Parts: sequence; C-alpha cells; structure tokens
Amino acid sequence: MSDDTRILSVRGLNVQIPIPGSTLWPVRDVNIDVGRGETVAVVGESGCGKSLTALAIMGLLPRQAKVQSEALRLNAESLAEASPKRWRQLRGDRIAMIFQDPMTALDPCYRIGDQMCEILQQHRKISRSAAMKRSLDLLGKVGIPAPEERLKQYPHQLSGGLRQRVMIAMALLCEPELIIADEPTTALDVTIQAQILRLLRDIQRETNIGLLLITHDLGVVAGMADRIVVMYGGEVVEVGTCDQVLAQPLHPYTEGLVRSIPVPGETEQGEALGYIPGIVPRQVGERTACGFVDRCPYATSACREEPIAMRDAGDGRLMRCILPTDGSARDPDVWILPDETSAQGATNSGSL
Amino acid sequence: MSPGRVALRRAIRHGGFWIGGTIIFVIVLMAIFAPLLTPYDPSVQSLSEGFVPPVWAEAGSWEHPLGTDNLGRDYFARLLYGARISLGLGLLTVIISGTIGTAMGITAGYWGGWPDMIINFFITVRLTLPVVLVALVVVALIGSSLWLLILVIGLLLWDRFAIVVRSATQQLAQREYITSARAIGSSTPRILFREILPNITGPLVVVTSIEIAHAILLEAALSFLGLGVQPPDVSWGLMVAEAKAQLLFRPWMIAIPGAALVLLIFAINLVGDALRDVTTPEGKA
Repeated sequence: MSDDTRILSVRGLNVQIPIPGSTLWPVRDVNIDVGRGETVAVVGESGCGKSLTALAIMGLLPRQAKVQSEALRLNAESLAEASPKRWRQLRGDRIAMIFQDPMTALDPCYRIGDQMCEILQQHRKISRSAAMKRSLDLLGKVGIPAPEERLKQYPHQLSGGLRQRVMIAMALLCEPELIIADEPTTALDVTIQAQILRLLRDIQRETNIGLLLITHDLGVVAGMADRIVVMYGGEVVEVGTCDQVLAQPLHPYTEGLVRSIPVPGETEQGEALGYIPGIVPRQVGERTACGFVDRCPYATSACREEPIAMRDAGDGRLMRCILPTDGSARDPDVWILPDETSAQGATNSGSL
Repeated sequence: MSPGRVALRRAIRHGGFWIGGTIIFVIVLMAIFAPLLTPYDPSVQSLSEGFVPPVWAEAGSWEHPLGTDNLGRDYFARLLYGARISLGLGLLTVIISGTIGTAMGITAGYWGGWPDMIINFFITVRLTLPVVLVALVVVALIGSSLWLLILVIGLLLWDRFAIVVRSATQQLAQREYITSARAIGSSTPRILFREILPNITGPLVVVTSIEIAHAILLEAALSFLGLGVQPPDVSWGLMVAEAKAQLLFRPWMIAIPGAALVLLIFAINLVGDALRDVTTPEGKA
C-alpha cells in the first residue's frame, strides 16, 4: 500500500499498565495500517490486546496506562504529539468508534436526536435544525424505520439492534475517514449480527472510509475484511489478506483458530472440532521466547530460545513463527484432542 | 415519553410521595402564610397571659389554640414562625454541603488515582469529627448568629454527599457511554456536567432529603444546647429547649414542637425515598 492511500498507520505501539508489584504489557510492538476504503480485521481471543490497541489508537486509555509508539499517524498527522484539544477535535470527527455493547453506549438521559446533534454541533458550525435534519437522514440510511419517531425517543425504547444502528449512524455523522468498530456485533443475537455487519460493509464501501474491525469471530471476518491482523498475547502474529489467512493460515495460532470453526458441508456431524488448549497467559515482562510456545502443538526447543521476530512470508504476508511456510511441518489434526472427555470441558477458541 | 413525565406519572402512583409530600406542603404553606394564620407576633410577650394551656386542656381556649409559653407568647405563632427557620436553614445548608460534597465526589470518582486519595483523606478526616462538638466549638468561639449556624452546618455535612456521589460516579465512569462521549470528542467538563451529573440525580436526591432532615435535627440540637438559634428568633429546637423546665408540669410544651419535628423529618424521608423510586431512569440497570 502506498503512503498516500493510508489513513491510519501504527508503528511499534506498546501499552504498559502498572499493577501492584509489576507491570502488565498487554500490547507489544503492534504495527497496523488501514488504507482508504479498506477493512482491516484484528482477530484474537479475549485478552489478546485487541481492544486495548483500539483504545490506544483513539487515545482513550486511562491515564495509568503508558502508551508508547514509534509512529501513530492519521493521514499525515502524527497523533503521538497531538494535544488533548486536537485529540478532542479528531475524535468523533475524523475517527469514530463503535462500541461493543449498544445497551450501555448511549446515555439513558437524552433523546437519540439530542445525542446525535450534540456530536455534530461539537464539531461543525451547524444549526440545531440542520443537525437534526442530518441525523434524520443518517438514521434512515442505516435502515431504521420511522426515523422521525426514533429521534425523539430515549435509548431504553430501542432494541439492541436498533441501538447499534444508531451507534453506526452516530459514527457516520461527521463523515470520518476511519471507523474503529470494537466487536460491534458481540452483544447482538445472530440474525441481527448479520444485518449489522452487512450494513457496516455496505456503508464502508459506499463512503470509502477505512474500517478497523475488532473481533474474535472469524465468521464475521470472512465476509467483511480485506486484510486480517491476528493478535496473540499483545503481539501481531500474522498479517495477510482475508483469503490467504483463512484458507492457508501460517502461524500455528491462526491455524488453531481456523481449525476450531466448523465448515458447513465439510465438517461432519459428530466430528470433533479443533481447539487451542489453555488460556492466554498474563503478559508481564520482556519476552524471552515465542509468546505462543506454551500452547503450541508444534513447539520445539528452538521456540524457547529467544523471542520470535516478524518475518516476511512472501505474497505480502507477515508472520511471527519459525515454522517453514510451505506447510511441510504441519498436521491439521494436531488440534484435535485424542481424549474426548477433556475436550468437552474446553471452549472453542474461535466461535461461529 | 421524557424522563420528567415518566417520573411524574410514577410519583402520582406512589403512596409515600403523597403522604410525605402533603405533610411537607402543608408545613411549607403554614410557614409562608404564618402572618395570615395567627394574629400574634411570636416574640411579643404578655406576662399576664403566661402558661395558658392548649385548647384541648380544661382551661384552654381558642384564643391561644396551642396555649402560651412562660412569657405569654402565643405557642401556635411560635410554631409557625419556627417552621420558617427550620425549613430555610435545612435548605440553605444543603445547598452549601451539596455543592461541596458533589464536587468532591465527582472529582474523586471520575479521576481516581491521587485526587481520589486526597479527597478520601478529607472524607475520613471529616468523619472523625463529631459534628455537634465542632459546631459547638465554632459557635462558642465566634458567637452565634443564624447565618453562621447555616455556614457551619453546611460546611460540616458534605460527607454523605461526597461518599455517595463518589461511588455513583465510579460506577458511571465505567459505562461505555462515558467512553463513547470521550470518543466523540467531548471535553471533560462537558462529560461531568452533561453525562455524569444527570445520571446521578437519583442518589443525589435521596441524599439531599436525608441531609435536609439531618441539618434540621442538628439545628434543633444546637438550639437546645443554647448555641443555635438565638431569641428573639424562634426555631423548633429552641422551643424544646425553652420548655425543658416545664417537662413535668406542662409536657405539651415539649411535645408540640417535638411532634412537629418528628412529622417534618418523617415526611422529608418519605419523599426522599419516593423520589429515588421515581427518578431512576428507565433502562439504566
């Protein structure tokens, strides 16, 4: 991707959080690019640092968290040196965010219309009636029936799916260049999830904004993303286009995630799904080995000797593993546990 | 429907709100229209008419419905004018203490970290101070006036505001709509006044009612000890104090202002409780 089509560029992002006795290091050396009109999905289990990465990009982490980065650019502007005032101007205007839980992301004290106008009037010199007009247009655009009525309603009068549509409309108000959606469908039921995702995709294509989609749901990714960034333990472990990563995962962690999804037509009834044993460990201190080594079925002694660097895997793909990329060392059944009883107690790490 | 109308509709159906509200309403009306309700001046003495018993006693008459005190002052008039001071003092002190406590609570709850530690320290220090004793010392040192009394009580009773607002704010600060407000570029003052304050009105209203009652009782206690409201002003606490010598001979002289106090405090608490039920925003869970 050339520099001028790049909206967001993150280099060497680190987040550290002091806790009593030590320091958590939940985001390490993360690089992410989002181009104009591109959807980049950040995937990984809970606790992999996805949301913290998003909040760090928005400058919304609590004061206690120490955020460092080599570069954090929106278009050509460096956000790392931006003043709090500049941050406030950018948020909601150039970068917008859609949150995970639409039930708590709207203030129960204000009407939908008031909350939408507030955003516009904060960033634009615009009259209240014009702001209402634009809010109305956008509510219609995100497929809310009877938008005039909804404008006058309070959040508790809307269902979860409607609220998430309102959140999307709010994010679009100022025509941002980048939208960060932090698990936008996790709190919704499956049928609504599909609608919301389709809406996000359509709007993203129509307006040509960059979308940074954070999710643990590979099913969501498959239909949406242009590129995938897989995170594990606060590090980016694999980057590639959507098709590349899902069809031929290179990093064992990605492979484990992909193996844990049942494929309609291929997975037979009663067939065991793969899963990744263990949980994401707490991230403390410097790396001395591969971060995934304790859960990796392919791990060798070489994996424990030193931290693994990102390497070019050809085709524009990147990965953080020393396994050969040609698939010679791989056995797809390595993820299926021989002992069924213990497998039942474990959760599938990648959900449908 | 707007939250205001929801609250109104709920209030109409709330029994406690009706009972408490009616009592307070009547007391307020009586305080405001005191000059119309009694021909007497509460401080004018008429020594020849001392210790007239109230109307329900054998020697009582409708001329002085609640009798007179030892100096011949009409007891009903004193009760009415005393209500003015008790109510006014309750309101004014709560404005002072509520402002201080809310500001401290929001600061501590929203920022956490060292501002929280400092404010917590002040709350702890404040909680170690015996309120009546401190008020007594201040009044004894500086002298007693109604305004000083309001100021002292107001400066002492902010602790409950601070504690309740702090914890309510802490809970709110975790909500996504606060993060979301920051994500759309809202400034901090805007978040505090437009997002947090409206969402903590429920607990704030309850504490306000409790603290009004608290302040009125404290004033009564200080007046009883002779360091509160000074004659010729009159308050219910002062009436109880002045009647204590007559406790065994004319018990109604204590019972009347005492019952008035009980009734008022009871009513305020009822309304405070009802307001909490009524103002909780829908879908706030």
